[in-house]
Amino acid sequence: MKLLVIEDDEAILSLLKRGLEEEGMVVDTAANGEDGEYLAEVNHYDIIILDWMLPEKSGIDILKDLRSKDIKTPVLMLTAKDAMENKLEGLNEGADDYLTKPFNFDELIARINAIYRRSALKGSDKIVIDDIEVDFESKLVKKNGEIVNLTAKEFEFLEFLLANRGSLVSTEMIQDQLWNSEEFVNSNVIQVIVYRLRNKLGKDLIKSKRNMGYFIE
Amino acid sequence: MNNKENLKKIVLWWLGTFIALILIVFNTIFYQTLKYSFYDRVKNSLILVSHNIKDNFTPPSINKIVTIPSKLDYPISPVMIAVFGSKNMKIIAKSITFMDINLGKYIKENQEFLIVHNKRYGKIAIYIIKIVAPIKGYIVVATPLYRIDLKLQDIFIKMIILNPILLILLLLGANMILDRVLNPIKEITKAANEISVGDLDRIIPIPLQNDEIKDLVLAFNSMVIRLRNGIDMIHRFNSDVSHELRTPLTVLKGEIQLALRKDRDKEYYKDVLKKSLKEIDYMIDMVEEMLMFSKIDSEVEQKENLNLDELLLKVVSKLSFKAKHKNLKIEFEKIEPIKIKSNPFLINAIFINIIDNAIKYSKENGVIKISLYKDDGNIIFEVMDTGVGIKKEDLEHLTERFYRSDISRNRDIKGFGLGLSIVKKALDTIDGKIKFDSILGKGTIVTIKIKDKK
Repeated sequence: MKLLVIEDDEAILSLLKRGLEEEGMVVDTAANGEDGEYLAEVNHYDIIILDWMLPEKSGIDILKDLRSKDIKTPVLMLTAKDAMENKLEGLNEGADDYLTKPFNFDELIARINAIYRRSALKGSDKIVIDDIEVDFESKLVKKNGEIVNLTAKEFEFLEFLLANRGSLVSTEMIQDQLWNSEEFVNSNVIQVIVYRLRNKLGKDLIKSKRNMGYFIE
Repeated sequence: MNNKENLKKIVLWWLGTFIALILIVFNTIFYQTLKYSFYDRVKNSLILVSHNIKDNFTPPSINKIVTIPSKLDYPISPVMIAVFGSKNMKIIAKSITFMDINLGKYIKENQEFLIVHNKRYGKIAIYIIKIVAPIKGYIVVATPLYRIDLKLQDIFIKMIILNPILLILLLLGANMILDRVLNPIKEITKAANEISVGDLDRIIPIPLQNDEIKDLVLAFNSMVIRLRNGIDMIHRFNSDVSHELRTPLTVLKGEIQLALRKDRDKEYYKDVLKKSLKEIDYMIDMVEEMLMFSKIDSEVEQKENLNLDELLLKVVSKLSFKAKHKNLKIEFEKIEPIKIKSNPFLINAIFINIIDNAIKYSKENGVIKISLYKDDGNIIFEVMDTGVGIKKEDLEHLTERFYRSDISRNRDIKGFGLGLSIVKKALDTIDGKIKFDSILGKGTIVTIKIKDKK
């Protein structure tokens, strides 16, 4: 899962990045409104975590502009503004969820997962394909009822392919999704992940098209 | 409620007493005037009759009492007429209406007109004139007053009956007027009782009549509005404060929760504690600034003789460690010894916040220039920095509470947006003004002008 966090307070931004990355999420960050909006427009994110009061451009204005440009990336507003009218404004302008500061970290993660399930996985928290069962909630993968141990990146990869089930996913897309913009990625890494997943889950699950990408039917 | 009824009772009691006294005095005067006018008419009639007799009287030749014929055209009746000879005071002529009253004894009283009281006939009015021709004697005319007295008695009884009725009617009217006056007051009391701190949106409906009650309602409503503004200000301050507290609390809570999610190494915990300490320090600073802000109100009264230059030097030496930290140079351009009678807390708050801001927003290795001098009856305090400067659109908001420009939102620069509102509030209290001149990226000059009241 790839997230964009737009937050001007350095301490909170660093906290969110570390905490979410520990959950296996890939996190891009922006410390002001304009940078944040730019990133949201040019990259694909599963969820944007958006502060309200930001320098350069406020969170609510970013949200309005994104929606008017038909960018439907789910947005979770994370702000100190706790008045009911603020919440209503945020949700009415197209935010998918609203959480006030100070927040509970577990709640934040649970809400992010819920939004992801609703949008990318279309509401399901479990997918069964033949003898393989993927539980997005507990992040457990079973083959013939037995737990298969996957690394965080392997699970992310599998989750991404399942979120785009039936369509081809290019290596660039995978690279964008699994790593944040500052990390250097060797293209071999993706091949290694595919190799390992095929070993663990069987050869037929992940299909590939030469030089184009991967998909799950 | 009791008080209101008492008020009405008191007014009615005083009004009743006052009206009753006026009625008594007025009626007494009226009754007496009426009585004398009646008696006067009787007197005039008697005079008329007596002169008539005098002109037409022919004394009898024989020693026999003659009868004076009574004329029907006398203005009063019955009228008793008698003529006394002055020799032996014996009646020499009398009318047939003459009753057996000894009128002769009244001649000695030497009065023309007198009212006497007779046991049988009641009050009698008597008029006496002296005659010298054709004989020497007295003509005495008299008439009983019982008719007039009956009339007067009748009027008196009517007065006794009518006056209390009049008094009661007046009091009832007064009662109605009082109710009309007091009812709006009752309404005001009711409305005032219903208004609470949580419900200051209510105002009392303004009466149509343009009178004192309307003034009272308007005064009351404007008081409620002023209260509401005051309370709104406190609410806003509270909400600002709680909002400002959220950021450090978010970091504290988040960092600790994150740390507790799994076992970490020693360095991680150390790092969390360091970060937490930083946030706690931030909150302590904030609480201190808030205290300073709210303390200004209570600091107006106390005034002392202050040496401004000494105070300024103290503040600068207190803040110099912060300046050293950023390798800033603080220079005094022009310092004059200035004595002023003012509040030390307010002056200190102004010096500290302005210089502290200059240090905060200065780039490293910058210069801060401070001046303090007198100019045309004003004390000028000027601080120039080579800092980040202020955006034009921010200038007018600088002294708003918790206003922070985008630059100052960076929490590496400590501050909550209270510093300049403290300065503004302090300056308002001591009749001072603040001015900012700034070029973005180059620096800012803050000029403070305080009236030097000797």
